[in-house]
Amino acid sequence: MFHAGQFRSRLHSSMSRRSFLTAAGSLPFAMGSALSTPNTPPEYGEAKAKSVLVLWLWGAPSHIDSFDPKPNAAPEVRGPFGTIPTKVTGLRFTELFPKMAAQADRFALIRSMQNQDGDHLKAGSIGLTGMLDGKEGKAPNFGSVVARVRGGRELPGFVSVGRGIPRDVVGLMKGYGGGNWGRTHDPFMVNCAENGETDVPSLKLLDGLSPDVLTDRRSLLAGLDKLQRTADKAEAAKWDASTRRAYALLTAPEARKALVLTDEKESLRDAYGHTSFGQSCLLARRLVEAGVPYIQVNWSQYVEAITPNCDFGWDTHIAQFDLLPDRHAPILDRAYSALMDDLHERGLLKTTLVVAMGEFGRTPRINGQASRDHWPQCYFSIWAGAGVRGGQVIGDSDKTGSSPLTEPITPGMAGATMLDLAGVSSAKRAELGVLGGTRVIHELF
Amino acid sequence: MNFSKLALIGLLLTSSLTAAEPIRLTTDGGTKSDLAFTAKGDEIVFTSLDLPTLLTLKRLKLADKTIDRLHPSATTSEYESTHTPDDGMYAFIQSRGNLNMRLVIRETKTGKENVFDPSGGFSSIRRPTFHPSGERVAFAIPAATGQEIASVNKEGKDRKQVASGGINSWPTYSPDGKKIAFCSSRDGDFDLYVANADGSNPKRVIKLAGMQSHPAWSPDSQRIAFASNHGDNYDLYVVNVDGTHLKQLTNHPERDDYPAWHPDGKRIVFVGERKGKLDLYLMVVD
Repeated sequence: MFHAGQFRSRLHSSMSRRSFLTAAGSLPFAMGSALSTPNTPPEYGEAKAKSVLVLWLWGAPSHIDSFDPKPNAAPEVRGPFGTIPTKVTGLRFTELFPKMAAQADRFALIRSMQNQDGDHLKAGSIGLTGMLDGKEGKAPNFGSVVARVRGGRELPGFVSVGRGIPRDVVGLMKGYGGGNWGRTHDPFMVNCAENGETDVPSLKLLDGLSPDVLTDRRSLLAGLDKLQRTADKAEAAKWDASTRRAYALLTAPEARKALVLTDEKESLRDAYGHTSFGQSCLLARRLVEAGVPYIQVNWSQYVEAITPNCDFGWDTHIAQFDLLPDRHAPILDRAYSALMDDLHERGLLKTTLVVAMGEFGRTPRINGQASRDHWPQCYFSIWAGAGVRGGQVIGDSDKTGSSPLTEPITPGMAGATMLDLAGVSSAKRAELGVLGGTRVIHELF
Repeated sequence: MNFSKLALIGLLLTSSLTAAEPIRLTTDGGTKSDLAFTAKGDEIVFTSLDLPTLLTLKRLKLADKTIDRLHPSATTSEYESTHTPDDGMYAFIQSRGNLNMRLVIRETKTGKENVFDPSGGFSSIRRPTFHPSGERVAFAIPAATGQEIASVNKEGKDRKQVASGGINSWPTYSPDGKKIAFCSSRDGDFDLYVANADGSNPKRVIKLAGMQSHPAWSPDSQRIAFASNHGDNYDLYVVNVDGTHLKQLTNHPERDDYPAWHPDGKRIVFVGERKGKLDLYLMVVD
């Protein structure tokens, strides 16, 4: 079921019903947000990836306890988990990921990722923009770049699926959206609950419209008329671009349909697992199918693993060896493998790039809390689809997972690869001033 | 207790004792873990993910399958409760601050609390188990040697080490109070161990491929049920305390975990994943 949320404010009294719709229709986002300017023909080369789907493992999963185990290392490094063979001869994961192990021939594993910062918010921004915040300020998310170049007319060019802007208990992560390019290049944000209900947070600003009246344009118009009669100027400021574009999206049947998970077979929804992340991955596949060029599924809003009011991110400074087998690993294992099956069976994997990664890894040596801390020097990412050659390991880490033994693969290289596959050429990237001085990860193909 | 409730219990008891397939006790499919029988087997307390940001303790009454929150006004995550046989006291873990937990020991009737607070800053304490005497609570807690099993008295004081070396977790006292079972990575991966209640004379019960976790004693203190991914997938097993007579209890392509033994010794309740949903199931054990 699609829920438009709890609407708490009112429509600007000076905005007529028709003018609202006109305004909404003329907004960059409204007809393809974080998006290209309407009436501007798409400028991109041959895109091998019609869609890029990033599974953002926010909080940073341990590489050693997942896809780069060190079974021969000392106990304080190897940890308590055993390893299992995968479908790729000689490749082993920890025992926590049996379903992904069985699909290892479908994806490429990079074991030599390296970030430039060990702070979540900074590393997260680097991980999703490829760039440090410099004198020029905040760089745009990879998704904002793709959307700017390839934004469509009916659907947002960049959708972020999750509970809100990624953050930690201290603050928001800067690299979540448009950065210096402005809010119109921010992602369109959709939340997806474990029961598959979706909602658009920006619509929660408005009172008076129930989800039921948003089923077609006519009922939306009627609802807006009613809102106008009770308009409150003080609330008008909240009627900003993000809200307008959210409403405009709802007038596009194709977009609205993409958000309704109940259209899926129950067996398929089961396969993904009835968790927020699982159903979010299914929603992402629907968005791929609908033609959204860039989708980012956030594992959690907060990095913190166990903290009041936080939603169980991968930042396992404590309870690492309880949380992983109890919760994190089974959820990821199930959702990822279902996504691979689903994309493959629908013939979408050839044209969809799927990247799973966090902002860094975790300390090789177990800390004083019987867990692992931040480790940007070495971590993993997983790549599938859009021509990526599955069943291979790119890069290698040393015997304790402390450092890459091969050339480090940086977030900038990851970003350049995603953009390149999405049709944002190096020339276009140079024109836009993003991801200069980096290279595509050619080893993937 | 009215007639209808008695009838329901009778039906449940009868059907469960003859049913080949586990009986589903909950239907919401939400995330659940860490089960404990209370009220002499009439109720089950478990940990439930109520909101994306909140774990709560919930109580299922077997008679009518109603579920309520153990602490309706709790606003921070609480999980992994353990109860004395007479239900006079119970203990649970409370999420207190940023990556910080504490052990709460509470008198059921009065609500009087004692707290064992490991430290400020990042601090973990997990999986408490009340000794059947009601005098001590053991738990898993980080230590210089990795993660140890330790215990405190019911006032939350007098910490003593019970087991150490590697990562130790999921302690559970035997119902007769003489032993403690737990899982440990001291010899490599997580295996099942049993020691005297004070931690002396630890012995590995059985060596299986894959990890063993979440042990649960039979009421006669002779057998231990546990979860293991021995067969690539988490299923339930049972073994005599001396390591003999290993038996696989469940064999389902999805996960079965967190066993808890009913006080009658004939049934086990566990968390079963079916079609991607997590619910409590009750099954008969031979």
